[in-house]
Amino acid sequence: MITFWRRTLNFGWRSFLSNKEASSVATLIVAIVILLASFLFSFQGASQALVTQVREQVSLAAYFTRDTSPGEIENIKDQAKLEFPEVIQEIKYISSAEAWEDFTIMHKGDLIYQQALEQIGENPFRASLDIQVKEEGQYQVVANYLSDNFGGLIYKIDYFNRQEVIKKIFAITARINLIGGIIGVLLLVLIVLIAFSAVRLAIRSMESEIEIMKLVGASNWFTRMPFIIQGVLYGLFGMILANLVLFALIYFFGPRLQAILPNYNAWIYLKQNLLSLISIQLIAGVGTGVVSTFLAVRKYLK
Amino acid sequence: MIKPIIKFDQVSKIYSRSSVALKDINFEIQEGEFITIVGRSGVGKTTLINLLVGKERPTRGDVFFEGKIVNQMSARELSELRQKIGVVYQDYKLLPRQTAYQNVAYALIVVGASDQDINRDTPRVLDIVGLRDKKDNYPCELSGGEKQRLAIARALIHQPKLVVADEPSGNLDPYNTWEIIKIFKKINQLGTTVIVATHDKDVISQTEGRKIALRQGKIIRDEKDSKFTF
Repeated sequence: MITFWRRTLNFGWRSFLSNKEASSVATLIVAIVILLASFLFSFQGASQALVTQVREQVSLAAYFTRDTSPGEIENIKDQAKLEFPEVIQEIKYISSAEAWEDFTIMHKGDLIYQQALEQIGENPFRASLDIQVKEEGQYQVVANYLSDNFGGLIYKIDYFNRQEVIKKIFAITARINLIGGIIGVLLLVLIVLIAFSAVRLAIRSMESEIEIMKLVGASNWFTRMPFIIQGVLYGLFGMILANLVLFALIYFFGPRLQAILPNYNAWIYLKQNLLSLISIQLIAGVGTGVVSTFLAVRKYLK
Repeated sequence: MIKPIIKFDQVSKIYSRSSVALKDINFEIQEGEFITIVGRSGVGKTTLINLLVGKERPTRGDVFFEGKIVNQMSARELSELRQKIGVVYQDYKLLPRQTAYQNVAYALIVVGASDQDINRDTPRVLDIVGLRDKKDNYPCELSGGEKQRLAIARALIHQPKLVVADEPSGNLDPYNTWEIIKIFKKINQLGTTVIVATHDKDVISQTEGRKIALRQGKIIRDEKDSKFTF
């Protein structure tokens, strides 16, 4: 068995080297498949970061009457957390003093705002609970809960005013994910088909060799295996090539991407998901190489 | 009663109505025989060999090898059959991306020979056919005669039960032809069944034993120790 594998690997390697032109083309195309699969993987991370970034801007704000004490608000916060443990992502109490401070920091140096505040003469901001939930549809539920149970203490719930905007943002981000995914999958299918054709052409140039191997008495598996090894080599060399390009692109364009998407660092994302990335590359590259050589050789073994 | 190693039973190969390669072929070959199949080009000699190694299937009839019907064999059985037969094809059928040494060794690898046997027998057989110095050359770097001899070396290396040669003198000068026929005679004397298909009168005159003559896809003569022309 060891001898069989040693010889098969040797044949596969020799065949890969001796058929340089066809091997180079097949490897290059498989590298494109891997690169595209890796891009899709990275895109998924970037799009998640984008969605998180956009959704972080969306929240429900419940403003309390001036009579409501901080203790009562803290109590409402705890009750809401208990009521919706799986729904609420973050709930934050902002006192009227903190709201004032945030506002002045945000508009520091803006004379119009400063003068307006001076004219009012007191802190116009109310204490509030800033709530973020996991799914868009849950805002309505939380808003209803607050108004039904603590309506007397609540001055205004800001969700009702921003409802349409929030819905639109969630719909857009969902659409970005869906369209990106569909385009990605279509591109991947297209490039895999091209890779299949490239590998088939590479094997077609060896059609007479397959016939000779069979006539000399090689079994189907003995004939097929070196070509499958070749398919593995297309995948492995394609992986090396694709990663060189991928990391070069991340090195040059990663910082620019992070300027647009502060939540997304491509290096860190790929490092954290290295095992998944390698698995995807192996499936895309070696899988494409092996399956396409298997199918291409099968045609000539009949 | 000795069973024939090869039997053609009512075998016909018809490609189309106007292209009948073989018609109602019947003959048996006993183990250890030296057979010369003679006939002009296009009479069906190559088709007959192709049917014997299972490269083609007959339109009618059955081809037997050691009692088994070749045209009903599975892919696995065909591989096993071909491992028992050494064939020298008219167009050599050498692996273009393998050296002379690797081409010959391949026939041994296929039958699962050990590295020791391969390293011992391959140079020996290349020596017999006079190609030791060309062992590292690729087929494209060899002359027609050298390719022919390389094909013969590959056919003999695994000591098959049957050696079949299709026009083995096609690219050889008279001296080399004589040398090759001498090799075939020698392996026949050692017990191997040999079939030589040829239109070369020099080869026919140099071979002894049974001769089967074909004309227009039919056997017109099947005689032992005969000296005849076609």
